[in-house]
Amino acid sequence: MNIIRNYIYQGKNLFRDGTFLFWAMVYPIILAFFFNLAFSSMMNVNFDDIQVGIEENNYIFPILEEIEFINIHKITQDQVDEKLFNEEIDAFVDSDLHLTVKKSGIRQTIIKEVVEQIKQTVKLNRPIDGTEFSVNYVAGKNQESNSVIIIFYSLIAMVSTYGVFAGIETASLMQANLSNLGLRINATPLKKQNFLIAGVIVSLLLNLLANTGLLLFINYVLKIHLFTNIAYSLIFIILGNLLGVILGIFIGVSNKKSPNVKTAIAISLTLFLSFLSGMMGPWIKAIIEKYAPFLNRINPISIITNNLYRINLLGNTKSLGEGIAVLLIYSMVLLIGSYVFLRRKSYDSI
Amino acid sequence: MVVKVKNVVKRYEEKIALDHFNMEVNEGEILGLLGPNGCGKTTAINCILSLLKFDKGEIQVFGRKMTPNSYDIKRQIGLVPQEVSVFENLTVKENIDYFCGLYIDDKNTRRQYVEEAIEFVGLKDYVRFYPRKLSGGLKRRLNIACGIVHKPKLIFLDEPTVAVDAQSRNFILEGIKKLNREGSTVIYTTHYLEEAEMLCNRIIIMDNGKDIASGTIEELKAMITTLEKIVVRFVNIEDEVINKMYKIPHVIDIERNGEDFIIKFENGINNLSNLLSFIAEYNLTYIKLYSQLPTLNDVFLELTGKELRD
Amino acid sequence: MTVFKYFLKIALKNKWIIIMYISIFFVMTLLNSTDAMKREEAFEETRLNIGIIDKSNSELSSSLKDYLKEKNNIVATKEDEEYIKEQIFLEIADAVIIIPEDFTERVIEKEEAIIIYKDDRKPHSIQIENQINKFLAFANITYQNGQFALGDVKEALKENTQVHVLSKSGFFENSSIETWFRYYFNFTGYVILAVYIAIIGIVMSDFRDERIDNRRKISSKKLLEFNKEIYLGQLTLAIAVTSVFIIASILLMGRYIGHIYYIKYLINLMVFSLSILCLTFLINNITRNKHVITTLSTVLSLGSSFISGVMVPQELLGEKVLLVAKFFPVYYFVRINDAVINSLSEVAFELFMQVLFAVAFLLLGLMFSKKAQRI
Repeated sequence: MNIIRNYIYQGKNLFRDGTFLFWAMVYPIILAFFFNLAFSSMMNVNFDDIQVGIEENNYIFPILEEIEFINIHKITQDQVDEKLFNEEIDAFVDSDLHLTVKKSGIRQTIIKEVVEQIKQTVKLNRPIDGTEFSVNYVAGKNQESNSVIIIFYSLIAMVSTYGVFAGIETASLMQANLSNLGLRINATPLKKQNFLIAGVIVSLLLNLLANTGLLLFINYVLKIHLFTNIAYSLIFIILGNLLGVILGIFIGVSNKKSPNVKTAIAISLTLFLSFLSGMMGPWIKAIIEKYAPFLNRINPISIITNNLYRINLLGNTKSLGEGIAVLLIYSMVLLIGSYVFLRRKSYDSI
Repeated sequence: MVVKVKNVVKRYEEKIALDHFNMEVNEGEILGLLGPNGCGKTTAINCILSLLKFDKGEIQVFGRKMTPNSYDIKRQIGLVPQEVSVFENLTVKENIDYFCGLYIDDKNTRRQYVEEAIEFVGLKDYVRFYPRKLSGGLKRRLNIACGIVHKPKLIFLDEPTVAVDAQSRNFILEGIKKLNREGSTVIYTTHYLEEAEMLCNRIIIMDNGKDIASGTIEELKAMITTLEKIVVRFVNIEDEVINKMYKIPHVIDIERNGEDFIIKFENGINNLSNLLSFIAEYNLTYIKLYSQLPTLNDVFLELTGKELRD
Repeated sequence: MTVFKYFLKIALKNKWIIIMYISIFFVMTLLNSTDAMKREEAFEETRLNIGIIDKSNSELSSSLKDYLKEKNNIVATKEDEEYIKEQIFLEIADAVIIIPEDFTERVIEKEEAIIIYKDDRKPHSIQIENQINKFLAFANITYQNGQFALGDVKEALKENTQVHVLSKSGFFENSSIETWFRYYFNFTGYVILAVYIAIIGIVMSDFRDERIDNRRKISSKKLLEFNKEIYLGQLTLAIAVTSVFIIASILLMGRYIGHIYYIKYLINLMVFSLSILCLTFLINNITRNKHVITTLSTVLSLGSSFISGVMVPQELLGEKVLLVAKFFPVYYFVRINDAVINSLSEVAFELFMQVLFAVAFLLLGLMFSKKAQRI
């Protein structure tokens, strides 16, 4: 049997399916675009028009007036409630330098910091020339990074497992009870393990291609540089791909549910694991770290996210073994599981 | 003996699909598996190919027990499934080449076989088409090409002409005869009587998972009691005379269908002249008179008590 | 009502997908809102876990340490870059600082005087830098004749500003409960988008196989009649999904409903559900490709939720992003949930916009449906 030939045809079959291509390639790119839109703006958000209400006779009135990002509203005590509720002002500073606000948020926190610092400076009672507070005494030792990057690692981890869809497709072609084509192929002398291996390799290559597209997009279009250590990062991306494809085959062969159900299982599973790994906000990962740290160590998407972070931002490549081991164990177990389902080669019903 | 099926029982949860089914296929013949929809034809094929588990019985292909791992047996078999089963995203030629490659390793042989198969099903003008662009009949031809491209010794064709236009149908039937002439043994399932009569050397009639009769067409026809029917319409006839018709030699029954009388005979010799002498004797006038030899439908009707046509 | 009846029948056949989708998304909603409630403790600086390595052992460094200890928890660490990074990675420490030997001189020269390793995954970790900079700036102000007046610095830094959160009709008495509801319903918006498009899409694509659709086209059923029944079926399914989230909010937090303006969330969610239902109707009239529908379900829901303030609060998003977000109904939905109001009339515009989206989607959907009458 000419195995290479088989690969090429299976590849052609998967690759020519326009919707599949869209699913694999364009979809992660659109998501990356949205993520970048949301998070990059979050990082350079500037609060240059914080509205502060204050009585004219307050002694810090002139100081606040000097601060560029604060807009002063001269108001009287009895206007406070109304102005706050109409959102004309974010906070009101009273004569004791305490604040009244309607809600708590970043703007309010900034005003609080400012007022508190003025209060403390006054208490200190030394002459200042205003330059003192612009000195930075702290030298950061982190590589250039921010939480956007972590979200992107999470996104990459998620899409690396998207080989799951190609896996499901391959499984349905292999099973006589799942598709007409499967029936036909089962009647040929093509050995199942050959078809399985061809399916895994082709799906793997396709999804890696899609991943490469995403990485190029992030790197050259969004100009976010995620990787300092490509080789080690690739290990995890490839392991994610492998796990994804095998998971897809497992989902595909382990039950007789419709393709709809299988795709739904794959989507909700990967989405949920990504959510737990912090894709929709890093705090979810933190809360899991606090209450169920074990989950982060067994969630494959978390493992990939964390290790990409560790490799590229912390420059740590020493303790990758555990992650690699867990991912390989998952892949092996699912592969053996799939094989067990596949081994029963005559079907109860077709 | 190419295929031997002995007392196979296949149960689905809700019903028995094969009920002690037997079948024998000899080398070089076209065997028709004839029966109404849902009688178990496809199940029988899937069991023979060991795609389906069965509960009881024995199946041999080329004299050996068939298992899912009998790759050397599978190599000599071609299957044309009932549903069009091809890759939607491969072209006509790629599909045929793919399936050919699953059997034939040699590149040159393969190229030649693929060309022959394309020629054979008449898809020469469509090699670059994707299956979804083909009409129903052409899709069926592609389906057949994928199953026969490797020149198998034994070919299963599962209702290959369902929903096919007359032109494609004749094309397909001629093709099957040609395959057979070239040395392939063919197992052909259908619920069309005419096809079975026209194509098959031998026929197994199936109903409710059982093989209720088998033999050549002549043998099958010989099994039934009515061997000739004569339809006649008289200008005027009295009941008394009709009763006298029963006296004509070999008449077993007379049915009335509107103004027509269908006179059934238990043998097939000299019935028409006997009837004509009767007509002359009683001075009757007829406006139509013709004889019908029994068809497979009559066989089926008599064996199962129901019409095969759906 | 044949169409309606069979729509529900097919939906029922897909009940396991529907149940699975709802339960997974529900768990996500719950985790998100419960976490938010714990996270958003207004105006309280979070105590971070920090490690300090003091190689200076000067007066200045020890009083800095005292100041940091007041505001944070100290964890043991050691001076080894790899070790420190691992500690941060494993979230044992949020930040580790190293005070070098020439610390005092550097501070006086107003140079970078402290090395920090911090956890970039947590936005809070920036506050440790602010604390250090503030303390050292204050110390430097008191520097005179080779001496810091560290006692004065300490006294001054004890001054603080209290924040009084204005409460009207008692809505804000329990701000963390308010937070829970806000996040719960905001996230529900994302879920509704994802789940409606996915499951109604699945049922519709089962229902409207091309061949079946052609059969429908030549039947005597009027298009509008057909659409009406389909829409009714989708509405039933939608109500079922939305109800799960409403009922769950009542079951979980029902005892607090009296303390907040619950009706705002309720009405808002209903109006939003309506507009997303119309969006789903539109999508189903544009495509019946299952791949496209599942993709749209993920891309549209995640994408528009991200830029509309479901995952990241709107006030943290830049103006340009919000400008884009205004083209999605989620934006208005989130604005209402985030707003503190006394009557619904205050958010009439946002409600109106959602209804407008609903009408636009519906009309477009009908247009496409009519166009699809001819092949």
